[in-house]
Amino acid sequence: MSNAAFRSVFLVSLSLLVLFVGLFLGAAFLYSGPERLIRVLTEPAALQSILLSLGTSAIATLLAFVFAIPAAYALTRWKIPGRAFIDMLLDLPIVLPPLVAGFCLLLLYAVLERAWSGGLSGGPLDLRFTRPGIVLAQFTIAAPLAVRVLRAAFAEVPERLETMSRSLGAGEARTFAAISLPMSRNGIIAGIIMVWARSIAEFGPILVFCGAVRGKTDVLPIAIFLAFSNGELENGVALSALLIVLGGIAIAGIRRLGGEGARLA
Amino acid sequence: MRNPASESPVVPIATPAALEWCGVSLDLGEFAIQEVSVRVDPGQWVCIVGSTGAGKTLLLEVAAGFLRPGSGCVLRNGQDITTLPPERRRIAYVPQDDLLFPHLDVRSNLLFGVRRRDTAVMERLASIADDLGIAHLLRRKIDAISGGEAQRIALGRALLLDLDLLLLDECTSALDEETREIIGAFLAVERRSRDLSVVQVTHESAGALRLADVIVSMDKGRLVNRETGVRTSPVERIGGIG
Repeated sequence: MSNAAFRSVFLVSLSLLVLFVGLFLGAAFLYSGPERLIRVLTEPAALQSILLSLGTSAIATLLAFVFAIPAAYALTRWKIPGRAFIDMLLDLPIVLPPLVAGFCLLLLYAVLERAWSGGLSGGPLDLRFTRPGIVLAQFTIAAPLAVRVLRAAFAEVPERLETMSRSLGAGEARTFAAISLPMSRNGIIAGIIMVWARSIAEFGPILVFCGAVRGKTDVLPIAIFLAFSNGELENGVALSALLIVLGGIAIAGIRRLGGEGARLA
Repeated sequence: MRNPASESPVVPIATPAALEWCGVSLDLGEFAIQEVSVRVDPGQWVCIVGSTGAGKTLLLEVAAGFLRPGSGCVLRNGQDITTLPPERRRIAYVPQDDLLFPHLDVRSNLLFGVRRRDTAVMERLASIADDLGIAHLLRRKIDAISGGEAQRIALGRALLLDLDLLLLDECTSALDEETREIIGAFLAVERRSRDLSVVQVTHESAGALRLADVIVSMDKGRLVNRETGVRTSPVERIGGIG
């Protein structure tokens, strides 16, 4: 096969794939014109879903990173007994079907309920079918994903630079704050965007753990599900288009920042 | 175990060594050191020479806390520091690869190990930067400096720690001969004024001869020779760091 023929086959494959993905993502925008999209997205119900999604995903992402930064650093730098098992355990929620993750969360509550002889039900810690429960459901996937992304970011910081910092008199805490954290800044920010994008698109765990209650737990994916279930096609299309735009912005941000986040994105 | 470099005519034998490797062994596969013992007395300048792969750098990294020896120990002023974390060893180390912090500017790199930022420290910073010819670089990013400049910044950063033990690993290899002479003269003055002990690693012995009290030769991870009293006059001590 000549070079030209070889290249043609590959470029045709690429073109077909780009056309397919572009068309199916663009269908939401082609189906409804911009005016209709804007009209639907500015309706009170849609705005409520958007705000609920932005709020819960932001809190879940923040919580995920509060836990994931120390966890990822410890796993990256220190010899922790059973590290391989811990790695596998923390990766599991990422690869599990999201519905299973939500179901497991629900089962955890059932087990706790049994252990506490029913004392959990209705109390402040009972987050089932509540808005804080949405944050918890998003957190179950966001935190392990954050650990994975951050591990890659911390691994990119040369360990010798950290040892040099310590040789200059800085303890482990100061070395982390002054060297490790700022040097993995781009990876961390890319990770935050990625985890937030995943959280805002989370559907399965929220559906199982919090239900699909309009005006209460209808974050964007749930609102889309409700819209299509009830035949409100225009609403579903508009909210889907919004999620596609948010996803595009997230990927552009991650790519711009580079680092491991960009490779995973 | 007998210390090869323990016959310094100046320092009484009872004085604890500024730094001492006692039968240190470490095997990293490609590089290894075996049963190496070297004593560095206070105020002494010890040169470790040898070809690439002789284990010179390993010796310094074991002392600075970058590596943990497989066996043997490292003493600092008579205290066993083998398992101490690097931040508690009080050793100023200038590694071969500079290890400047790329997210900080030159000034922040120089001041990284300095806790108090008072007037005296700032004056010392200005003085060292002048002497090393890096005063014009203070606001520059690390990715905008040359290899020779990076070596001088790493040296300045170590000197600003104001410690009495300095480990130098091929720290002027990227400099031209003239700058090397200037830095050598500066280090000779620093050593005299602060009673600094220096361990200098170099693969070529010509320049090292001029500053060293003791020259230790290494080959394939072993100590093969040591020469004392090589320093002959103050004039010869100026310049020529290897």
